[in-house]
Amino acid sequence: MSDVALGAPSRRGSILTRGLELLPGLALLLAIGYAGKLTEGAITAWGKAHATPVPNIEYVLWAILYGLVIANVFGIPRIFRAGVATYEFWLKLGIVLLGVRFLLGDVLRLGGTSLVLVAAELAASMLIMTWLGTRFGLRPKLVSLLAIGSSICGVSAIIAARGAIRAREEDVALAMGSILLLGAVSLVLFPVIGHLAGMGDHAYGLWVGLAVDNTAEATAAGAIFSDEAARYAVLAKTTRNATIGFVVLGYALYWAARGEGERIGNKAAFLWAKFPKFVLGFLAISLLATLGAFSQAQSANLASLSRWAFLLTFAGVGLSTDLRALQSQGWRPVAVAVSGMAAIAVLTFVAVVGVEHLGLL
Amino acid sequence: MSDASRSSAPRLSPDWLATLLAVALAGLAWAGVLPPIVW
Repeated sequence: MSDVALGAPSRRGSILTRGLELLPGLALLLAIGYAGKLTEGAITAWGKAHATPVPNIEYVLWAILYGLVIANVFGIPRIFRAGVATYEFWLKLGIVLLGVRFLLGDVLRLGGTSLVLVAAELAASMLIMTWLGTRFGLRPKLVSLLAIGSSICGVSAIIAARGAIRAREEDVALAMGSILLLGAVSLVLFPVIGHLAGMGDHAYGLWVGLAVDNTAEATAAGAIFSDEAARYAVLAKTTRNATIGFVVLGYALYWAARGEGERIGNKAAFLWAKFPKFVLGFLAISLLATLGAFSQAQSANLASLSRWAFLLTFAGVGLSTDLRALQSQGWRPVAVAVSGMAAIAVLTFVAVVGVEHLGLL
Repeated sequence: MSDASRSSAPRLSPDWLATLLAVALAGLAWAGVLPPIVW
């Protein structure tokens, strides 16, 4: 997940001016997301009216598709860009609000299971990516970036590591492009594999949360499967995101020891600076729900708000995927990313199915 | 005020902003003033 600042306007202005700059893009996100929702409803209604079974394609996929077509066929006029760039913010808001649908006990239990699998996934990702990157002759820092991106949180982990390991801009772009390319592919592949393998919502959600690297794509790949799968995908992915500081710190120390990275003074301050703070919000809302702060109607209301926030996010995922930029990646980083992530997807699939058989989900 | 001193003002990150907004919305829901949200 990238740390795109809210709107990130290029010049200083009043809060009102900034808000106005965001409006066109926000309206576009809402229009595309809602068009996706209407499409899903129209197809379902058509199937019922004609007594014809039609596959239930979630609005998520439509919203992403519409966004992809608009961005890559027509392009996004400048006036919309600031608002569209807020989609990561809506993702975080949606995740925090989703905390209302988790009791803290579930978070700790599933988070604990996730954490064990995340630890295994982190180790496997770093080993596989390092081995493949070295075999394909990639620059060592590009290998580090790919390992960081594939093991934790995709784009935001790469951004967090960029300064700490003093990576080249070219390597950052290559690593981010590879992660985003695979994120786009995973939106189609993972739900298909999940259905073919007859996975349950919990197992599928956990698998997606472990294997898909960007949080927005992981949430979307979960939501395409089912609402319940999206919940588990978010939980597993958030657990993974929470480890971002430790992994980046490890790589920063590695490169600093070689005189090629940022010198780390206070490690605790470094960890706090890299920690995704919205995880705290998710836990806080989950704690309030556990303490019975909300009635059933209030919980349902907050869960609906979370869905609307995700609707804006998914439209933004499509609008922000530049297929031409993805095509222009060199083949070797993409080959490393594709083979590495395929290996990670297979390993995590086996691990999740194993955990499910042990009755830990 | 110089540019340097103005740019050193604390800026709320999207992470914190999302968290605070969600907590504020949860507070409104808890207080019963959040209108029904239909999905």
